[in-house]
Amino acid sequence: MMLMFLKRALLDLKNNPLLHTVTVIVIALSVLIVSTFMLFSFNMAKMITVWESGVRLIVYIKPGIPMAEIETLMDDISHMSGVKNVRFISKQEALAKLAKKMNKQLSLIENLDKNPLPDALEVWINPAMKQWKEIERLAIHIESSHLVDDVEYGKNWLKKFTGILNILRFSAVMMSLIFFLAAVFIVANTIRLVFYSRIEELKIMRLVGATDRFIKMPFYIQGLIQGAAGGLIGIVILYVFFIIMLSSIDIDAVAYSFSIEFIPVKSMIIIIFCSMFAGWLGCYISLRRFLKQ
Amino acid sequence: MGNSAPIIRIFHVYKRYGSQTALADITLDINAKEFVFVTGPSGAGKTTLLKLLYLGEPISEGHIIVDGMNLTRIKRDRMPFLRRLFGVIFQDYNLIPNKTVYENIALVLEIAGHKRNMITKKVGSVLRAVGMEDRMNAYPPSLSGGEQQKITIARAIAGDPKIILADEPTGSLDEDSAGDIMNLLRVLHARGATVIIATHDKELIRSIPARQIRLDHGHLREDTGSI
Repeated sequence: MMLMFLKRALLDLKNNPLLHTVTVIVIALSVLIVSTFMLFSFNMAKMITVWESGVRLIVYIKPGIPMAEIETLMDDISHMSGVKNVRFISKQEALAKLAKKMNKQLSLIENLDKNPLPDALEVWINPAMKQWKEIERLAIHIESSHLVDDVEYGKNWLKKFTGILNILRFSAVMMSLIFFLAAVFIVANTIRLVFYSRIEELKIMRLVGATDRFIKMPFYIQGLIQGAAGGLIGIVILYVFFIIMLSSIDIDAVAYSFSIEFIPVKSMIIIIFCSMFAGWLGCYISLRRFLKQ
Repeated sequence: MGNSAPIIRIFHVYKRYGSQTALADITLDINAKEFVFVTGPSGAGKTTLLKLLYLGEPISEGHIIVDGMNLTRIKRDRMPFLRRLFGVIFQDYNLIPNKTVYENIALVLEIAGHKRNMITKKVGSVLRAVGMEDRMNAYPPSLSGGEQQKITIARAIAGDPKIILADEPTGSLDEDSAGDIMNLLRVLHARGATVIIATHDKELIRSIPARQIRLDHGHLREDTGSI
């Protein structure tokens, strides 16, 4: 029986290609927009987690400080509360790193008369110390040394980043809801149009003894197929954009010590199930109204 | 044939369309395996009476009991099973235009849950019975009125229904075809089906000795009783 319903559903999809294609496109666009938000919020959340588990301060040393004094400073810092590790980055190493990152504009660096970068210390913070006030206190303490020019620890950046992530998450939920309702509305209208184009046929089917289930099942299957196809297409388009984006931008420049990833398989499955549910719900709303008549 | 228990019982049935009364105070029984003509002039209420039996129209007042089911109180989910008791030969054919002759007939059997190979066999056999086996793949709009009538008859008998309702079944047929169809209905009746034919064709009524129920302006004027 299910095979027969599936055949009837596929036959109807074949007989009304334009109507069903438009529905699939609308679902795909909805999924594309929602999953784009998910992709961003997923990676931002991951970035924050990475940052939180490995907060570091960059301590810029004033020019011309002898190495012996720098070593003393390193020793002092490594004994401070909450410091996990201290590493010296010489100005030569910093320039080499910059040259590697800017390999397309290498000539800019090669033409420099002297290395403009300062010596620096990379201070890794213990992951247990997550309170910003403590990190801030540590940064001020280090900065008070007469050897230190500046301390960079990205506090404001991370604060803003967390704020943006929360907005993005809220937007993603709202957008998901709006696009879910839009998809349901479009599917409901498509099915209604298909229904009205076949109303005589369905009336005859009822007169010769068709149950509501017999009439409804192919429509439900159509809704599920449209939802699955739309969901899958939306995710595939997003993946293509994602690959293009990865290959065209400098990821290291965007996210240091962090790899940008596509949305997890579990989330993709949830997206496809949600779009299938939207397809089914659209059918259900339309059919309920018709079959009450 | 006419002495079985009633399969259809009609008690004081009225059918109204707005202020117009199409049927008024109809009370009668039709026995299982009976052959009945419902006669009367155009507008007498013949088609309406047939429609009430399979709930093609709702009953305004009164009760109809078909095979133990009270149609006034029948639940929505039981209606398809009521309709499967009937093979209806509709006056306006009611064929699905974008389905082939084969698919139109197979639909009734699919609804009843028959298997694919049984459906193929059965459709072939009913099409042979009405002399239309060569038009299996044709679409209804490409057929003449008479041919569509035959397909409607084939669809009505495909599910081996207990009751066959025929609304002017020979109206679009030539004399020979009409004779063939009436013979077919007689064979089905002989095999145990209850046959109810609504017609105003006096020749047709005379051709078969059967019970006659005459309606006029929605009222039951005459019932010859079981033959």
